[in-house]
Amino acid sequence: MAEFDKVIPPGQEGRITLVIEGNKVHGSFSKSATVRSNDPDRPVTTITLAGNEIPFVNVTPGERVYLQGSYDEAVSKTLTLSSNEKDLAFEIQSVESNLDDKITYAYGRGEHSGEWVVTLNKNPKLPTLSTYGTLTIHTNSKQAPDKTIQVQVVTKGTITVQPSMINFGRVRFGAEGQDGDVLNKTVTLIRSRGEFAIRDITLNNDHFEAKLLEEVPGKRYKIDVKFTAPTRTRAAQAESGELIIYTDDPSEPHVRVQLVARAL
Amino acid sequence: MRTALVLLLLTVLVWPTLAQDLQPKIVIPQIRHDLGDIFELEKYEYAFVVRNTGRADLLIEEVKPG
Repeated sequence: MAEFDKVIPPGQEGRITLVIEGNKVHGSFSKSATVRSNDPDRPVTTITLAGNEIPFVNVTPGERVYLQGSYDEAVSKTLTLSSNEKDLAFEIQSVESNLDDKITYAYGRGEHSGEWVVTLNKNPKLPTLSTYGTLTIHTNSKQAPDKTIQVQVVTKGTITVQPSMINFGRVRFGAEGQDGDVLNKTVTLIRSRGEFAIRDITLNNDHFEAKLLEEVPGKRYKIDVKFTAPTRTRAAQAESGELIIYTDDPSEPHVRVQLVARAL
Repeated sequence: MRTALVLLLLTVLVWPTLAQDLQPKIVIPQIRHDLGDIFELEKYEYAFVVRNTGRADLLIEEVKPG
């Protein structure tokens, strides 16, 4: 944003005022503006406003927390908060999160005066997942009392599904009363450690069928997925489905494979 | 004849200088300012001084933040 004197008579002085909003810049910044005038020798001049934006409440190492681990693994991250506001006996008043079933947290005074710490823990019994949420820290800061922390929680699986998506590509419709092209593809499930069993396989689209083949019991399974093109009813038809493979492992109760095909 | 030639020469030499004299001239003594530490939610402004050291009105046509 800028305001300026439009006409400056010879020998006179004017002003060009640049405005910076603290919430539109981050950290160390440098914002420039181009000034166009009728001076034929210098039609364009650039002016620059620099500075360093600081938050009222400082969070280190940052306002994003990434909690990643395997099933049964305890993962913990600590945030340190302090205030840049003068004459404030900074303190955290409460903490809340929309990830209450996935993480636990606690807060208290830090080592140094004026510092508070928040500890976040991933719930170790989380099945395989990747999810986002927030942790809101309510403080006694007068200017910015609520600090929102972005939290990502990830439990890595130990079952590898290859591929995680099957595209049957373009297939031909069947003539009236007949099925069209039939195509087969294979999904392989391998576990890097420990054994697992497959309890069930489901599909949510009748054009797909799946058959389990046990290759190395407890370790390696193959699933044959068959797609049968429908009878032609229109020019083109996309079919999509999801193969859900249920296991006996509480850390990875199911794995999913997306299926797509396009009949022409 | 000689006088006319001298006049012509003078015109050719002096005219550009005169024309330049009738131009505006923009001088911004300080083109960069450091605000230092600024707080997140607040608004800050700074006025840059612009001088016209020329002989015609200086028109600021546009200030475009980049």
